[in-house]
Amino acid sequence: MTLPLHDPNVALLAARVARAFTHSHRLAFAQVGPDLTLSLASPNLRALMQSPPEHILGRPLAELFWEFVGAEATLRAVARGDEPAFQLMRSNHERAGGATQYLDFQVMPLEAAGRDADLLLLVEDVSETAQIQQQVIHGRNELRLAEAKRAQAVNQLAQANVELERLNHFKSFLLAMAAHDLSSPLTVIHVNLSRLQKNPPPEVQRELIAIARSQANQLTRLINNLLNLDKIEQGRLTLNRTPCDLRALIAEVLETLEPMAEMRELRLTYAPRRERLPLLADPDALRQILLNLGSNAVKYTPSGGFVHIAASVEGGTARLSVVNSGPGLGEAQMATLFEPYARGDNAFGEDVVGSGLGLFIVKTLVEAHNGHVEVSSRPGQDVTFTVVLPLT
Amino acid sequence: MTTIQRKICLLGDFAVGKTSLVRRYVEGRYDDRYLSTIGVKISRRVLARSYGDLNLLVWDLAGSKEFSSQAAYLRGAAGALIVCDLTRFETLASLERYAGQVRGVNGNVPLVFVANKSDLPAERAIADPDLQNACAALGGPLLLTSAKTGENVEAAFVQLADFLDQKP
Repeated sequence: MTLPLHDPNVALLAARVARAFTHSHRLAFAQVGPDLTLSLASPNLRALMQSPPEHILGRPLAELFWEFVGAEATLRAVARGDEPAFQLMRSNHERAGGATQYLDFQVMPLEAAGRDADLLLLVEDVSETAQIQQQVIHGRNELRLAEAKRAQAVNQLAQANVELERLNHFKSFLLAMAAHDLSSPLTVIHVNLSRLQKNPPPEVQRELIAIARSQANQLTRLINNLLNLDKIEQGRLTLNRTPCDLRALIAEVLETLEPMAEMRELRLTYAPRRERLPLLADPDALRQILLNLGSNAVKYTPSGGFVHIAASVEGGTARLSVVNSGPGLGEAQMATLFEPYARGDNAFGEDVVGSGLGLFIVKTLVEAHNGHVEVSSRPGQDVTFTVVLPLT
Repeated sequence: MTTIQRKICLLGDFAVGKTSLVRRYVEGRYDDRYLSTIGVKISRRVLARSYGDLNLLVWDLAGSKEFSSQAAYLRGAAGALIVCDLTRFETLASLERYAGQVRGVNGNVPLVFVANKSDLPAERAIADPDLQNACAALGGPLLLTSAKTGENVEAAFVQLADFLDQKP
């Protein structure tokens, strides 16, 4: 569009506008040729530039303002009339003293849209408005960060609360354990020692010692289970794998189980092998696995029944089976068998001492060896637990 | 010797540390105070390359929503660094959106993804597998940086510069 400058009023108005631009500290303009160089500029344009060169006319726009680097194609499209204008808002310029000056840039055709029209560049210092806008946005961002931190803290508190509840449950469990499962064997040991002090006949002494030993073994097993549970809960369970002989370990555990089996009038049998059964495993963990499965079988088998232990090598695995005659297991019991604190009912109505941790610890220790546990039973039939462990 | 000038953009949610990364890279310093950027701040760093100088014009774009969708800022960018904050999980999900914006305006330009604030391991909210999954989905390298310590800041910009050199 061309101004009708021959009209005196228009010319006067144009002169006033030009003067206003010249003296403005906020708004400057320039004329940009089709080659995107400055052909004309208001004198105040230099004041809005960061480090203006001595001569700005004839220099490419992108050299004078980094804001136009990469925008050349768009500016040409504006000159051709393919795009109405180019705008870039709130460009930050650092001024002496560290203050930020905000500039808005607008480029539009100087004349009616046509081929390669000259362009009008308007540069406006919008610092006053922009600083308020910056403060508002900054305040809102700070608020959002604070809200996010609060939500994170609430979440962490909730997680800590869950952990505290779990620890509280564990503490209650330990107290109940101490009150019942640990004190019962201790009481029996005390009673037997008192009876031994009265110097009973030798055969009675042997019986009393056997009972005390059995109860001490029971205590040892409970305490080891608790220690293993603590390691599992803390994520500190580590295995010390060394070459072991499964046959020797079974023989050792049988010695511990025999007094218990005798007391319950059970037949405790083992299908021994002549040769060793070597495997790479943690011997303490294996001993605990055998003890837990064996003592469980003894506790849950009615008097007159049997517990049979067998071991074999199949392929690259060792298979350890513990079979007991007993009331068997129903589907509901099978479903929760390996959960911590799960206690089975024994069908013969006896009070069974135990933490409910034995099978949970068996499963955890076996899986730590990259093995697995199988169980097969039906109500009224034998129960077979089979531990399958890799040999190496 | 040749001098090439390239515009690159930094994008990411607010307060992920874009301005701090640019300050560390261009001025070699760090300021702990957080000040929201509005609009854009353009800085320059000249890199000596085998062919001459590469003038990197680094456009630090506002992360606030008012400025996040203005194509004018992105136009003509030869590549971009897209930044998330390791201490805020939600900033990871935004990487894809910013990558889409850059590519929507400039086509398939090189992108480098940056997970900033690696100096705050105790506050970390984005796990390595999440970063690896994001990286695989976005199709660009991802670097863990700290504007505070300077860890990997130079490497992230140099990686992008290397990509720019490979482009005609």
